[in-house]
Amino acid sequence: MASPPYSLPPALAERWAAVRWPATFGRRMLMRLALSAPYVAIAVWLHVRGILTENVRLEQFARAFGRSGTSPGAVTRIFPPLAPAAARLLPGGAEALGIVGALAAGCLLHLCWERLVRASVPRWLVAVLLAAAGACPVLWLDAAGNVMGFLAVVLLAVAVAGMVDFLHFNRTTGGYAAGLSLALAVLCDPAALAFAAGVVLAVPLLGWERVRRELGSSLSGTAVVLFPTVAVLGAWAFLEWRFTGAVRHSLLFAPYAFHFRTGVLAGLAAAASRVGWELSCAPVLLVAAICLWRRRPLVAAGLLVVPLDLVLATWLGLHVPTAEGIVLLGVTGLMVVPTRPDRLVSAVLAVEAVAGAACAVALTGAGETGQLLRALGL
Amino acid sequence: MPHAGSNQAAPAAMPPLPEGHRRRAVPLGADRIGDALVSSGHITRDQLDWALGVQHRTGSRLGAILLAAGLVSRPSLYQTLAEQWGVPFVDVTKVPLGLSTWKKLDPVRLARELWVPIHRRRDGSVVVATSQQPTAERQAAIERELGRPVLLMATTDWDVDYALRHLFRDQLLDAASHGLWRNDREHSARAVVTREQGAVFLVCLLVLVGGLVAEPGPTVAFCSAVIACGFLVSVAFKFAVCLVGAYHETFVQVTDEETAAIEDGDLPTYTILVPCYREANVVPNLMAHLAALDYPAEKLDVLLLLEEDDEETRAAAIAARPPATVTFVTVPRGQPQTKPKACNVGLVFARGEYLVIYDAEDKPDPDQLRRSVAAFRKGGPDLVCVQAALNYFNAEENALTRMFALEYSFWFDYMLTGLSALRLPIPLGGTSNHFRTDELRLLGGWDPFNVTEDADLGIRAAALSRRVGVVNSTTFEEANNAYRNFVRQRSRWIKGYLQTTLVHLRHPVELVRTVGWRQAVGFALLIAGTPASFLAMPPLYALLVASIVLPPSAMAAVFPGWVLWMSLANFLLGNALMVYVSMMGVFKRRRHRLVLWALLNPFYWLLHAVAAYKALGQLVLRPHYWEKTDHGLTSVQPSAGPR
Repeated sequence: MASPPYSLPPALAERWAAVRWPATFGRRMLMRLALSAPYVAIAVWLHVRGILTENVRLEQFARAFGRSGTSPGAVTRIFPPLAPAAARLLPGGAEALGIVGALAAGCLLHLCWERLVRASVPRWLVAVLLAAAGACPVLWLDAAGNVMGFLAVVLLAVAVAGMVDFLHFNRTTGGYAAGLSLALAVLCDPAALAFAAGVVLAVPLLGWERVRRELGSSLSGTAVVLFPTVAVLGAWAFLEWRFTGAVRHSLLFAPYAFHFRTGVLAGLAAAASRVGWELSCAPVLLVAAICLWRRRPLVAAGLLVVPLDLVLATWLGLHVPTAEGIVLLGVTGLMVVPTRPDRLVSAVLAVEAVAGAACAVALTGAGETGQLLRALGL
Repeated sequence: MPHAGSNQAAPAAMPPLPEGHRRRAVPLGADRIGDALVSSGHITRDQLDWALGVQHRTGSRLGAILLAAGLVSRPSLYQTLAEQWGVPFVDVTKVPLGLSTWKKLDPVRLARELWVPIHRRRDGSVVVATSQQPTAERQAAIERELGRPVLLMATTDWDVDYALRHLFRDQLLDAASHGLWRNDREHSARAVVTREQGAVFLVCLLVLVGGLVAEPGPTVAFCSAVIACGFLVSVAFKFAVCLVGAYHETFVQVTDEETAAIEDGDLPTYTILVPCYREANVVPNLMAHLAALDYPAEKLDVLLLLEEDDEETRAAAIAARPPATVTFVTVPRGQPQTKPKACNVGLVFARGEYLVIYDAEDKPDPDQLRRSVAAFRKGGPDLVCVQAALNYFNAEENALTRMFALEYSFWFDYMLTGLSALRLPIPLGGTSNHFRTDELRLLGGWDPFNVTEDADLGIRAAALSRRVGVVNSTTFEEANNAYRNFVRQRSRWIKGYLQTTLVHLRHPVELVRTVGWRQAVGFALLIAGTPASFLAMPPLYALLVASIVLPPSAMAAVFPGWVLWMSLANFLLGNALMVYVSMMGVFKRRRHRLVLWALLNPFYWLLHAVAAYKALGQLVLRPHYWEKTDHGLTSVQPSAGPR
């Protein structure tokens, strides 16, 4: 019998996409806690060694802000507000912030693990991929030492996973996850705005089959994903204007944003080059895109929106540290690993994952990550 | 049409179904009644063969099949049965009724057992009309009940109902209007506010007035903070429940396979109550939509509930030439003249194992009844009601209908699903709520003094430890397309929510003890929070406008900075959350053109605010007044499918 056109869809085409792993909430939480345990230890270690991390700077900023008074006008100076708010509210200072980042890392790894299980990836390959990602110093130092940036990365990863669920598997839960995570990511790090811009491109690409089938779904899908970000920014801008008379921090958020000091085109080339190097540390994403290219080229192109977003953010002067770029590209790759990979693809993925991790160590060895490693005596 | 002539005088119903009929493939004597009808020329041999084929598939009684198919008239069928039973046939509509002696009898029981005393003879015995086979056991049981010898006569089931409505008119009216009040006063909205509640309101009012007189600035600031926080909490609760609903979207309550697996023979009789009042214009559509239901016709017991003074709708219903499965039930005139009272009257005559309410303009999914049967069987015995989703066939008629569609999409597809998943009380929607009939009777039926009797019933079920769930089927309705009509409708709904809040919070401690903290808080946030958030809109809008128009120094004189910041932030965030869930609801329904209309939700809520203040006024001045919503205003044809 024919159902009316606006009746609920009878069932999802890919019901496995909705299956949670492990099945119960308690087990999932235990797993997240277990995965975050090593990072918690690293966060404590960083604190014990008295190393100056981003978390320490954040704690100092929050303390200074607290001393300067909490009039509504002053509140608007803390954009993006989530991390400073956490620093103000959490007892335990930088150490507690490190633990929050470590817990977020556990959640992130569980998210990747769950995706790999759902994609029926062989167990040995799951172990290799997760070990390569989780043991990479870039991830654990960022998680334990820079909660503000790392939370933004985790939220962006959740947004990517949500977008895939929402657009590819028609799960509205994914739409909620993507929209809300993106908005929260912007409240953690304004660089996430570049990813919000990328949604315009990602929606028609990732959801191509739906776009072809349902008129207007591209615009409505974009609206659904972007609305929370627009609403949050709009509300913040209004409050800022109301209480300070100007919109300085929420819309003109970063001191170097939109300043193309080396020229517009040269800046673009430099940004592309940098993200290219970061992408070489996360080759799993490229392998996944190549595998998908044969069957669904537009969806594969949609996966590459993430590196494009990074290029955009870097080009516009929104500060995205290399470590965060690598982590984001790496976990995005894990979340879109091809379903049921054959032996050849599995082998390629394993080799690429290990090579990517090694590349990440080499690339970041000279930077802040390297300094932290040396400070820890590693 | 077999019933057309008699429907004006005597309502119709499906032939009685004896106990255990569902388990018997072919009832005893079925072949004989068929042969008798062929012999008397009422039906042909081919028609009998066809009916026997249907009977083999559905297990229904032969007479019911023939009646539902319009192959035989009710009087012909029962006259033939009377001959077989060896008793005289009586046309109850043509004999004087007026036995006041039997008023002590319970009309509900008589309706279920299908007999009625109609006449006392000179020798002291009583003539009893029945549409069930007059066996010796049955006669003995009736004689015990009446305390006299009886003479049984056969009549049609319509005639039994007709006689009951005439003989027991006052009792039926009283039971429908005051039954709940008498049996379970604490759950009735007849008394709006208890003495204790009145005292609490008075104290609060005095404190507020005192505060405004003594310290106006701080009092206004305090009220503003409370209103803003309350608004955000109420909206955030809805948002959280919707998230849970979205999370459970992959859980299909009843799959297509489970629905298809139920064979016609396993389907029970299903009663459909359709209260109609001044809706002559939609009756033809109603008949078409009921005819489209994928359910064995002879197992449908459709009761069209017509008010005594509504000749226009009655005439339209007769003109629509409904099938023999449709019974006209006349609802006695009397206060309160409300839909729940009509439904209570219908409940007396309901013969189905399950029961559903549809509005006259409803267009349910054709398999909704089957799906609901599957949901009940799957849900276990404590599941007393399942609510189907409501949506609109004229969603894109104008701005108002679009906003309606946005609201209903999130409410029925996310909110109720979330409430069901969290096992929180579910306020039932106006129509398409399916009940186990016996459980509905145990709950006390609908409260005729509550103007959102459906929402109240859902909460009452939870308060009495019964479970209400949802079923994945949709009924398409007509969205209100006129603003005044909208305010009337909403003011009734909001007044009903206020009534329901007052009723169920009469004994808050007892409520918590009965249903637990989680359910009690869920109830308070949803049922009390909804009207409260609408009432909060105008002061919050006023604050927003004032903060834009007035210089900061002027605002600072009244509002401490943090109060203003928090109030505005809560207001903006709350509205954003509601916009977002509305967007998601229509996206799920694939109504992509409506997604951006969700941005107008804050203005839509202003309309709600108008209705909410009207409701508040009515709660004080006319608490039981039923604001009638006009239907049939749309130019969109429901048969064309949703647009």
